[in-house]
Parts: sequence; structure tokens; C-alpha cells
Amino acid sequence: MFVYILTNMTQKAINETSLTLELLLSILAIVISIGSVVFEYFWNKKINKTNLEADFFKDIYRDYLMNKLPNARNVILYNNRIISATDDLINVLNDIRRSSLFYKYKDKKFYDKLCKQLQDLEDELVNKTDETIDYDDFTKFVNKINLDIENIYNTIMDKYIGKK
Amino acid sequence: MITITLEFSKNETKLAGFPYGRAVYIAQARDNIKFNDEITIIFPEQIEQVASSFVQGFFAEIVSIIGYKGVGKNITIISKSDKLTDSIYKNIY
Repeated sequence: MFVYILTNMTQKAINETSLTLELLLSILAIVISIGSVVFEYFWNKKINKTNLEADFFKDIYRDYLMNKLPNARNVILYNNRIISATDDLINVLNDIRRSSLFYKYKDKKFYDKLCKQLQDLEDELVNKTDETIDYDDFTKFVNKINLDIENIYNTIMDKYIGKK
Repeated sequence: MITITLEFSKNETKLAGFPYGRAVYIAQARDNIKFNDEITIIFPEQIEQVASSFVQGFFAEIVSIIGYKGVGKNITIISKSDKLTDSIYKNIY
């Protein structure tokens, strides 16, 4: 009799434990489902925002980087020891600066860095245009211009790939 | 109407640099400007090129007081050529 009662009580305890465990697992499954939905919502929102910004970015810079900047750079002349035909490149640098105004309010750090690079290069071009310089100085000038343009490309591309 | 003719050394034909633009504004324009008046700024004939950095240094305080719209409305720029004048206006932005 006693064994029978004991067996019954043990069975009951096991059943209750099993029930509690099942309940816990069900609650956990619901929580995970809701969590997944919430996570997916915020993740998609972030992806959409990133994609939108990437679209803006491409719209702003694609033509400058692919066409206008390299073509304007190629036009610069050195004849009779005088540098000329820098207007195109100066105009493109200013166009890039004005086109970047969106980032003055979206990412001021990037905007300030890019503007400084653009205007430092412009200052160099303005100061050297129509100046008489020897070939060695012209070589240094060309190397500096190329390096400055490379840095501008790097600043813009680093922003695009999300590198700080 | 206020007219300000900027003065530079004879061999200076190009203007560049934000600090230089601001220094010229402080030395030659700031005390003569009344912002409720029309203002004409004359760049002398010898000046052939003006970098955007100079323009922004020179006009920084003016823009902060009367805004870009005010600049467009009240400021007249005269320089050696229409092309240069146009470039100076555009580089205020």
C-alpha cells in the first residue's frame, strides 16, 4: 500500500515537472519568436537607411570620381616653364565641395576633412598657375597634385565603405 | 550704398587661404560695412584669381550676419572679369 502511494506521488511529481518544463519551453519559444520579429524589423530599418545613404553617395560622387576629376587633372599644361589650364580642375574641386553640402549636416567630420583637402589642393593650383617654374619644381608639383587627388579619392571611398 | 575697394600689393595677382581672406575682411571691410545698406566690394584689376578658401574667409562673418540670401540681395561684387566675379559669387557657398 505504502509503495503504491509512494509510486503514485513520484509519478505525480514527475508529471508536474514535465508540465512545468513544457510550459517553460513554450514561453521561451514565444519570446524568441517575438524577439526575432523585433530584431528583423530594426535590422531591416538599418539596412534600408544604409542603402538609401549609399544611393545618395553614388548620386553625389560617381561622376566626379569616374569622369570629371581625372579628366580635369589631365588637362593641366606645362609649356615654356609655365603651368596653365588649371581652371577645369579648380572648378571640379569646388563643384565636389558644393555637392557635399548634404554631409555638412549628416557627417560634419567627413565634410570638414573633405573640404580641407579640396581647398588645400585648390590653393596650391591657384598659387602655381601662370607661375614660371623649372622642370624639377614642376615634377614635385605634379607629384603633389597626384597625391592630393589620391587622398581625396581615399577620403570619399573610405566614407562609402564605412571606414572611419 | 557703401563701396569698398580692396587693396593689395602690386605684385599680388592671386588670393588664396581662409585666414588671409578673413584678415583682409577685418583690415579693410569690417569697420566700413553697415549691414542694412547695399554694399559693393571691388577686387582691383590686378587680381586674376581668387580661391574659394579666400572667398569663404572674407565672407564668413558677412554670411553669419545676413545669411546667403542677404548676400545675394545686398552685396555686389566687381572684379577684373565677369568670369572671376561669377566665380567669387559661387564660391561664397
